[in-house]
Amino acid sequence: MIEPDMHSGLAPIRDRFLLLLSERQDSIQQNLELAIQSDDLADQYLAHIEATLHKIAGSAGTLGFSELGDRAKATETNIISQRTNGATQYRDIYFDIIAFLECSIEATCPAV
Amino acid sequence: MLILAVDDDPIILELLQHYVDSLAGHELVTAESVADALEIFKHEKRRFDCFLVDIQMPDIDGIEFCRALRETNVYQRTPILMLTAMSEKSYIDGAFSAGATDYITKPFEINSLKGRLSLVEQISADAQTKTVDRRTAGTTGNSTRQDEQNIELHQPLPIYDVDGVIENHAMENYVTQLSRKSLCGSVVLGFTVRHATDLFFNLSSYDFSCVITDVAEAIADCLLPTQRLVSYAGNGTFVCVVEGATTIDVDRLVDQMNIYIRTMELSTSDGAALEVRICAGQPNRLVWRKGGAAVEALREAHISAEQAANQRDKDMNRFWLNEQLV
Repeated sequence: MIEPDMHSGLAPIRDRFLLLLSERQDSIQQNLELAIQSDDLADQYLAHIEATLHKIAGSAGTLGFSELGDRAKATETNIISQRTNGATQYRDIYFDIIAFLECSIEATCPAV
Repeated sequence: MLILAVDDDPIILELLQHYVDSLAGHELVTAESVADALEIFKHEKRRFDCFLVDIQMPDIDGIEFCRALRETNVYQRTPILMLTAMSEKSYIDGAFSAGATDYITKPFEINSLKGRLSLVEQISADAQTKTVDRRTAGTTGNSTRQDEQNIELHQPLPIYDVDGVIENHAMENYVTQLSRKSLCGSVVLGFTVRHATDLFFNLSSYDFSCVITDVAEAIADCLLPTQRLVSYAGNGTFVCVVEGATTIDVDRLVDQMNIYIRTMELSTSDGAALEVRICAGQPNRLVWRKGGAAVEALREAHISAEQAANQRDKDMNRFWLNEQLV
């Protein structure tokens, strides 16, 4: 998933991005569990996930993780769309978020 | 340029720092929130030449910060480039309405950032030399100050403190950057102050710029509640991008604007009443136009409004001539 033609000067920033990505994955996972457990506050937890995805989408592409960035943006857009449409069932979004987490784990720990 | 970047994502700030360091002649100061930026203003003695501001931030967002900067005397014209991962029109409209000069979509590349910075460098230089504080002039009533600004008739004057009114170069950036899909359904419309040349030569520069500002306010207010952006393109002509106005009753709109202007009771600095009226050109729908073609639509709206004003004068002259013959 990492694109080979990265500017070498960006390597340290990319390393920090990956460290931060790991924390962001944890945050998404934690908020996802909370959202699934409490329907009443699901919207609030999804807002946190949306903000985290927004940050990943903003910098992933520049650092050579275009696919991850696109995936984050698509998931974020899906959450926004469902939340603004007043959806009461977020089941599809939850699956979408899980798919994103799998994709991002692959980015941080690519299969050998 | 001394640049202040405000973004709540530390990775974006690091990327900006890395890119700006690689460009000669620029220095970057970073803040992770608007609150941090305000702290920096307290300690930084130098004036910033450019801002890079993330739109979506917790607490105070980038649009609010942009609006606040435009309300200061120092940063009325300083280039503000908004950073956004969201390319939806509502975000972009909000940013330009608040006074943004342009925007950069995340993820961005160094060439894109370099290009934008070089484009705003000239605007920044102009902002340093030509910042005009109309509000100060108005409150002090200092008549010598009022004519210090030498303006040209064709010059797209900056207009401050009017909701929905943006600078002409920002309007060009706005239509250039938005996607075809986003602009589809928007209408470009031009309005011209009739006898603008006479007004320009008979009034002081200050009084002329006040007339232009008041007319801008009338146009922007009368176009509400539609989402609209208005800019002054020079020569007494305004161009507007109005969203979703599939059918505009232009005659009725112009009447409404002229009534609005009349109620403003415009006058010169020494109290002489001014009779200012406007007329409109043909509305032009932005169907599937992009980049240069969208900017061309602004030019066409400009020309159309001026032609309408000339035609109106010819019709009036013909009318009076016929009256005299009768």
